[in-house]
Amino acid sequence: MLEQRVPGSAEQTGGIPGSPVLPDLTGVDLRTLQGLDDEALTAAVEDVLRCPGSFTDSWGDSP
Amino acid sequence: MAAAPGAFHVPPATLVRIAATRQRPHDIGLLHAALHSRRLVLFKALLARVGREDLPAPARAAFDRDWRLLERAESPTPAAARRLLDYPAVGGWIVDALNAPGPDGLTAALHPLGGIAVGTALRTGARLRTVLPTVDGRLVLPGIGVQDARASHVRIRTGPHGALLTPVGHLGRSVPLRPDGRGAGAGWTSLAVLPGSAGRLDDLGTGHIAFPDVSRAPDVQPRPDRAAWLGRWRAAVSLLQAADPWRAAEITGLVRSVVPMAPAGEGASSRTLRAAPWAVHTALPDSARRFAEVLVHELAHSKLAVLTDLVALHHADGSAVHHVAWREDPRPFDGVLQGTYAHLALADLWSRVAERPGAAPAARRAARARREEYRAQVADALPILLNSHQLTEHGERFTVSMRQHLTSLGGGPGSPYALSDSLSGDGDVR
Repeated sequence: MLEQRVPGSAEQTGGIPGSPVLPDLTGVDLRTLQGLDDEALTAAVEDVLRCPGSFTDSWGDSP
Repeated sequence: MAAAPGAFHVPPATLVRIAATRQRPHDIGLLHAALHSRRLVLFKALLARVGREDLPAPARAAFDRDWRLLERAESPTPAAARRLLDYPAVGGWIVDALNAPGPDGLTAALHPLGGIAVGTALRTGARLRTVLPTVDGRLVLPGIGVQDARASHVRIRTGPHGALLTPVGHLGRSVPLRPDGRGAGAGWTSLAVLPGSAGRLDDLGTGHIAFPDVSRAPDVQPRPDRAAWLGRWRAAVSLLQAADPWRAAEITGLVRSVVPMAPAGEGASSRTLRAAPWAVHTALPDSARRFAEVLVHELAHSKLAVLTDLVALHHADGSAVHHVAWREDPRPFDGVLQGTYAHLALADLWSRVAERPGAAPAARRAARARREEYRAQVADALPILLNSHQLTEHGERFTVSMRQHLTSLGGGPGSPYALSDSLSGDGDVR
């Protein structure tokens, strides 16, 4: 996975339309996470806090 | 100072393979990495919300204690901790907390964090010494089990050899847990292992999340018939192994939990939550064949949910809706994409069943009819996507790859669109 990493940027467009890019946090432990002050991570966090309801999306098509 | 996080890159070949529903192990590795990163973003968002919210001092102190426990639980082997941190119900719990209204709602929603820390310590062998409060006398360890402690607090010791849970004031109800989460003792119930997999039947009310668009929320009262669920899971996996070993391995390798839901009448009978990939929420399917279809269908939703965290496939805002063959109600663009992908996975499954060597003629005909049903549904939906002008470059590649895979599945002689369902209820496809 690591060889696929490229520098992140909060200006990039992420997977969900209109969302910032999801940063690759591989190898980041929880203690580091708490103190991590990174532009892309901050943008992703603020996006979650702006619309936490979007994470309750579900798909329920009956097969 | 920690290195700045990078960004993910999804190779075009990965996108094509996932679109064809049959990815390779390193494609799944990418999805696992994405899921873990999303989970950490959600944890960080929770930290931010707790920091900004005006929580009562005891609630803030309890959160700080539990977060420190979680950090210590993870520290010996973060890679092992991921197995618990990435468990579907943990994602559902964080999202519940992020959506909880006001300080009081958030305070109530933060309870599971201590149990997540204990479950993580079981995975890593970390040494924890703490006392955690119960809720209604129960201590919930997400992904592991539930202790009916009949006490307001439980004293907890964890280490390399497992854990000891001792209800305060009730020494006789102590429960030793092995590192794999199995335990014995009054009041303890482990989640059941889904046979042939590392997944769990999350039937103790620990894996449930409210679905806001379902009128009847998932319900676990009365408690599901565990033997019936496990027996039907086993039969469904056996059916898949006989028909399509690759798909069976995918199911047993990726599904982390099956969460029983109450039947929803005419509504949806199975669900996948964006915040909890690899969990299959479903009412008990009435046959092994039906259960196999539910597993394939919902796992496709999970894969696409994680993939779309990595790459934008479209820029539709959800305001336009479209009619599709598999639902009576019109669907937003994202729902069309998700449904098309899930039904392509089912067409792929039935194609394998139909064309496998040694299939009896009647079963082959029935499987082909099933395949054609799903092929027709996907074929109807693909133009909605391809003519929408809403697909990104990645989305175009993904959707064209779905169309190519659909074509490769073939139509068979006569393409019997009659919706035959003559397979026996016990899943016999021979």
